[in-house]
Amino acid sequence: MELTETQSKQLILARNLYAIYKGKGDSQNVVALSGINLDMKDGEFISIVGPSGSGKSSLLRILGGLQNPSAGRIFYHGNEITKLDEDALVPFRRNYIGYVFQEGNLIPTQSAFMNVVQTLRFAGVERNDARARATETLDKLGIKHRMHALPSKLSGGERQRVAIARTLVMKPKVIFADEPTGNLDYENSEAVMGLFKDLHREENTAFLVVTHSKHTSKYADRSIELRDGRFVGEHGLDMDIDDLDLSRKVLIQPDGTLNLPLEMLKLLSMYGNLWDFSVVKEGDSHYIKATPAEVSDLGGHKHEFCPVCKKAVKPSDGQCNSCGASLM
Amino acid sequence: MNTELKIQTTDLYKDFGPDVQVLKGIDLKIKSGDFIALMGPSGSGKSTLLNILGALIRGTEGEVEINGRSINNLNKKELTLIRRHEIGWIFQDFNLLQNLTAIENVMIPLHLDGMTGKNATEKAMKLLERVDLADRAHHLTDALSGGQQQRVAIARALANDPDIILADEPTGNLDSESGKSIINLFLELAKEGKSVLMVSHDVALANSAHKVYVLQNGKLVEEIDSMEVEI
Amino acid sequence: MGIMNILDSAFHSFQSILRNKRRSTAMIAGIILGVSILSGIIIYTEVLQQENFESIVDSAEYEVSFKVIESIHGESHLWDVSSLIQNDVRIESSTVITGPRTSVFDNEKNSFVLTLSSELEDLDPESELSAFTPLFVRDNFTDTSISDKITSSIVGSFNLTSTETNQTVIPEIIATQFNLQVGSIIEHINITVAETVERGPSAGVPAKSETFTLENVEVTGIYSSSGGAAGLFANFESSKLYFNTAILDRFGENVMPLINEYKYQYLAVKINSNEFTITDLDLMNTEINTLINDISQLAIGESGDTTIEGTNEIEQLLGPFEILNVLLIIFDVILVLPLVILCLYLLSFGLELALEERKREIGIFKVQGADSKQIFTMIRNESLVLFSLGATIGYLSSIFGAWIIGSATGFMEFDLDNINQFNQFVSFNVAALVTSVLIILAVLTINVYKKGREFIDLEVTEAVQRGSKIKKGFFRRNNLDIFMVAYGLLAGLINILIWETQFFEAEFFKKINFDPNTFIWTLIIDFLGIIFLWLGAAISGARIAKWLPQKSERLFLSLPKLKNVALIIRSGLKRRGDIDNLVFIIVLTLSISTLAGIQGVTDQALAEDTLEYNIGADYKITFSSRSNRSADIMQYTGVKEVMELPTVSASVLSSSTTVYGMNPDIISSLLWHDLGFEEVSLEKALADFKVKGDIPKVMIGTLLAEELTASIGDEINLRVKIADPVENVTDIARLKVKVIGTFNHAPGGVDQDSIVANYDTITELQSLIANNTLVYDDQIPANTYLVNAKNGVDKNALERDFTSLEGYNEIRNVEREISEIGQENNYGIPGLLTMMYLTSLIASIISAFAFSAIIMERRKREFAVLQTVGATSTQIYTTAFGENFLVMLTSVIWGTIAGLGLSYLMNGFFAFIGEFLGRGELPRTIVLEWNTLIINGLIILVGMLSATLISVISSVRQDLTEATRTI
Repeated sequence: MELTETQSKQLILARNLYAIYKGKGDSQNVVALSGINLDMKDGEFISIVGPSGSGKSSLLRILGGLQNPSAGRIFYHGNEITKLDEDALVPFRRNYIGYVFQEGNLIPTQSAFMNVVQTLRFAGVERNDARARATETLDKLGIKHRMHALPSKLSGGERQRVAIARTLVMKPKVIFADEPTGNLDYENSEAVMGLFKDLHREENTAFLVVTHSKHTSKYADRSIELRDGRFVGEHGLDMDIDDLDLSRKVLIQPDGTLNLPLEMLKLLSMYGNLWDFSVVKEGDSHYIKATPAEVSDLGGHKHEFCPVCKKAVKPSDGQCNSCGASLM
Repeated sequence: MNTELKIQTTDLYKDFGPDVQVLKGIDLKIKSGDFIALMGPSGSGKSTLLNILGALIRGTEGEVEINGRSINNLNKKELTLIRRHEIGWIFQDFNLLQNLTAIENVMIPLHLDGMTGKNATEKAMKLLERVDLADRAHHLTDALSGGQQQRVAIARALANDPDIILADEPTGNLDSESGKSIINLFLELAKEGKSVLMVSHDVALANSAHKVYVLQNGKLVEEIDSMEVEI
Repeated sequence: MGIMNILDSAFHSFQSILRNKRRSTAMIAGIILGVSILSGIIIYTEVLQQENFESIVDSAEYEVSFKVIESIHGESHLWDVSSLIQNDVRIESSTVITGPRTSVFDNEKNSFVLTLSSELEDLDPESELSAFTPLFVRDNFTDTSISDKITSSIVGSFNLTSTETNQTVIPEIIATQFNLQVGSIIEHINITVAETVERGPSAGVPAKSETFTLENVEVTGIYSSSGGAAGLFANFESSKLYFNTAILDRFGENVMPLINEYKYQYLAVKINSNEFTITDLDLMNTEINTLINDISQLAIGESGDTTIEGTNEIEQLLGPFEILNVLLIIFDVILVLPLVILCLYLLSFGLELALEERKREIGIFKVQGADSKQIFTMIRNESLVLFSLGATIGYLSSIFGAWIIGSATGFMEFDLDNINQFNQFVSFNVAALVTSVLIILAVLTINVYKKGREFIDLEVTEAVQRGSKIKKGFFRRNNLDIFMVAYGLLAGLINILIWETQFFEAEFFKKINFDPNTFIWTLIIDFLGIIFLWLGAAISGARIAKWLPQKSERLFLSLPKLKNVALIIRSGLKRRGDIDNLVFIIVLTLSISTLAGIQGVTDQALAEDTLEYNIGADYKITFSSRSNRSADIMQYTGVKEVMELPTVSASVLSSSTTVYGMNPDIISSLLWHDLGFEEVSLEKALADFKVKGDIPKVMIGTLLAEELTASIGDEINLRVKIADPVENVTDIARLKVKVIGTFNHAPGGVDQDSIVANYDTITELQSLIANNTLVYDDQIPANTYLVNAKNGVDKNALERDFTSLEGYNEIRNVEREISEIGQENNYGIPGLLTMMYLTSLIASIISAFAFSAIIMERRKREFAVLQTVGATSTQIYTTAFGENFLVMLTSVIWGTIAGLGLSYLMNGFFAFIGEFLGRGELPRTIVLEWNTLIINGLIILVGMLSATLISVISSVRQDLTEATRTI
């Protein structure tokens, strides 16, 4: 895929991402992400919202270089990172990406301080310099007094702050955060979000944050909503995380597809498998007209194609037999 | 309906180390038939309170009574029996045993209590019927969806006829629909006389409970109108 | 700064290890055991070589001898040399001997020969035995080690220090003939110094002679005709009388010059073995030869060259010693090899476990921005720190290990009174340290590179998630393990048939020309069989350990104690994909410990049997002369029966043999081994034996029977040499006898080449030899007597009584010697087997612990949840027990079976080694002490289960809020 100049300037460009997990034993494969696209500019603050199990964490991991997508491509400033081997990803991890997990993920046998210092040392920062910077950042996050404790001795919130410190100290171009304030109380959430906002403003750091939290999602310039692995819509600053229906903008994707919310899809599913929509104006209203897409082969048999692997599938299959993607 | 006091704490304190006091004098009364939601920033009190009520850890100071009986000075074995007979736990991650079927998972507490064989199977089946999963009784856990797994977990929690159900973010890993069905189950259980104490982040779901308590700065605040809750 | 960085990383590595003790357990155990075994074996072998050398060389009274090639002045010439070399550290002591030496090394043929002869004039003026040679010996000034050596092998003492009174040491022939004992006084001994013509018509006639008489000579010692002082100075003629050299001075001033002229002095030198490189025999010979030349230079004559010539007496002895050393090393290596493989596997398994545990950590490092090189460096550094720790502990325990091998007096037997040897092993042995360190480090490095790579290359998400991939090894995937184990078991079965039955001696196999004992078949069956069985059993163990519990699950889980946790156990069993490694190690270790145990017991039994066979009864008493002792022996009340064992040398056809006389009434109460009475039972043969018929009846050894192609019922001719034939008559006589039975090994060390007859037959043979009709009044005289004691008698006290019998020479006491078996030189074989046994035991328990510890750690959460829903601590322990019991039991049984097979497969190898160690007389039958095997298996099973349960403790005691923590 050739990138245009504009596309090359995007901080992150992701096209057609799929994540398919193999089912254990008899169970089916799970399609956690289905055809996700993303365009992210430098300095954008984007939140990813949606119910549990909608694939948010998978998306974050894939975009963050921690997991290979089953299909699709990802570019950072025009450089493709999909299919790169681990060592080739290292420069991205050091300079571009900061990742904050939901569960902290600190090295359990090192103190909070060393966790942060080590990150800098890996990047080649000199020892004393690393120690100074680590101390400074931990102080900013209000845990300097606890920095020599082992993670097991810290509370969940403290651990989270150490994890954030570890990320912040590298001054990455984009920070991926999975429920960063999930375990924090109000005050600390404020402090953390404040720091994020400062970074956003001062260093033009981009943020991609998965969250349930109303508070956190308020900081986002725009929000992407996922449901069941699909992109269903975008929200702006007016988003109310508790009532997403109100603010959802359904967008036409770069590849011309339109993802619909589940409820709508369920309503439409009684019409069979649907591949084509057209927006039809009738009177003053716009309607979405859905057309089943079929292709007949020479023998007159009807086939459809799997969106993931493009192999032929039967209409009645719930799942593609080739790649396991579940079919609507 | 029996409205006796199922859970009662009096001036409960919990310290984690010298400077960290997580619970600062909790007075809580839960009667049978109550469906209570407990909210507040998690990790710094909610879960701790739930863990103390569930006899997983002890409080530092203050009384805790389960079914009218003080659990402060019980030994490990006695606490285990309390957990086995009086409390049913439901976790965010379901925590079912892998490589076993739904019905086998439900039977585990029965077996642990000494009920085996046909009796156990029959009872387990009844419980699965209660949560609408009788048709999946012999499916392995990883063949079940999240919502189904949680329902199996509920069936398991009910195995030894506890009076109290403790649920820690029961809908955390479920989509909204499954989540709603779980809450409905809780409501039914409450109607049957059980006490359900649920910790949750989800305001909308919490609102379905009879009462909402919020834990703030180590103290318990009762909220009726949850829209005012700052998270 | 470079050093700061190194210290820094070493410190961090150390810290990381301390905080993660559990995951490093298996790995460091492998390192410690590996280094320990490798260095231990090397240290031990060196100590052993020293001991062996000492025992071989110690048996020689001196190692270097010098003869005079040019006379200077009298005996003092050599004596001067002797005093000059006193201070040389290489020399322990020396002495000068005067007397005629057999001309083995002497190429000169003089027509005149100097004869020294003596007569015991008054005792037997007509005696034909009067021509024995006097030999004059003088001790070194300061050291009596040579004479002490001689003293220890004779009756009385070799103490000829007195120059005032006359003393002598005499051969037993004289003692018996003239009824002399230690302390007897011989009134006159004449010593003649004569020059005689050697050849020609007047040969033997003394040209000039002088005779001197010694009066009232005290007998201070009597030496027997075999070994001892007769073997001493063997280069000197036999039948010697020993006197002190000073006596010669009393014979006038003519004697010594004559002796000097004929160069009848010799210098005997005993070396100090500590000063020589006994581990390198070529080097040692060079060192000895250097010593010889150095000494030669101390006796320079007028010509400016040496006047003495030295000989390295032990050069001949060292050849076999070298072979023995090489054999020992090979034996060591073969025995130790499986242990080393085991340790290396433990190391590799441990590393894999450790890395598996670090998977998550590695993922986090990557998120922090580490590249693979940086991560690898961390792993490598930690491994190195762990290695240094392990190697140090390993080396220190190797000293302990070497001591165990060296101190074992029997399999798993230690003589606590004899622990003085420990000091020998404490040393800084560079060879041991370097070899073991290099090998283990190499294996560790390879593993770290290979396995580290695998883990580092994982995708972060995969690394951070819990759960591991199960890879089936190469062998399992291709079912090679089934082939291997089948091969091994078949080979084992063939060996069982070879050792326990005569299956392969059937005609059929001779027809198809299949002899499993040939080299090529041994290679195919035994050598390949051992490897395939050992490895195949270990690899296939996992199959069986999974299959059996699955099949018996229903039954097992319906046991009352387990019913409550049956479901949990079932869930756990299905998850145990990584059992494979644990089972592998269990089978590997258990087969070795079984092998060690069985062979250890077999070895011990064989040693005891050999003793019993050689002694033949409760006691075997040898006297210094052939005489009637039965009455003397019977006087002691503790004696039940006595049987004399007279012997006659004879020939049958072209085979020479010894005929032993035995008393048919007593024969059956002797210690028979490996009877070999096939066609005819011992009882029947004995019954036949007693019946007097025309032809004397004999039993012959199976080997002799084979050589003569004789079988039961055949008649053979016993041929003897007549001692003093009358002229013009043939000098051989024959006795026809009938074979009534064959034996493999008869009591008293009577081997398969010999013949057993009754006393009448012996008397007949002796009469033929003497060319005279001999009649014995009551009993037939003999040198050797087999004695049985009554029940309940204090055998050691009785033994002491026997030593005061007249003419007593030597006694062997079965009971005492069996209890002392450990003290003889066993070349450390029992020790090595003990080491094998203990090491494999330790390895299995550590593996079980390390493995369980990690598995249980991973399941902490599950256990927390179970406790939350009401499981008690006991129920958790029961779960852990139930899950592991079946698997471990199956592995233990399978490992024992494999060990059984290995014991038979290796029996040939052990027998081969045993031949060099005095265990080659009797066939090596495997002794299966089923009790011991079962107990052995139980110990390991209990040990492993305990280790497992211990590792569950932390899960049981954990903070149960773990259950509510989200992942």
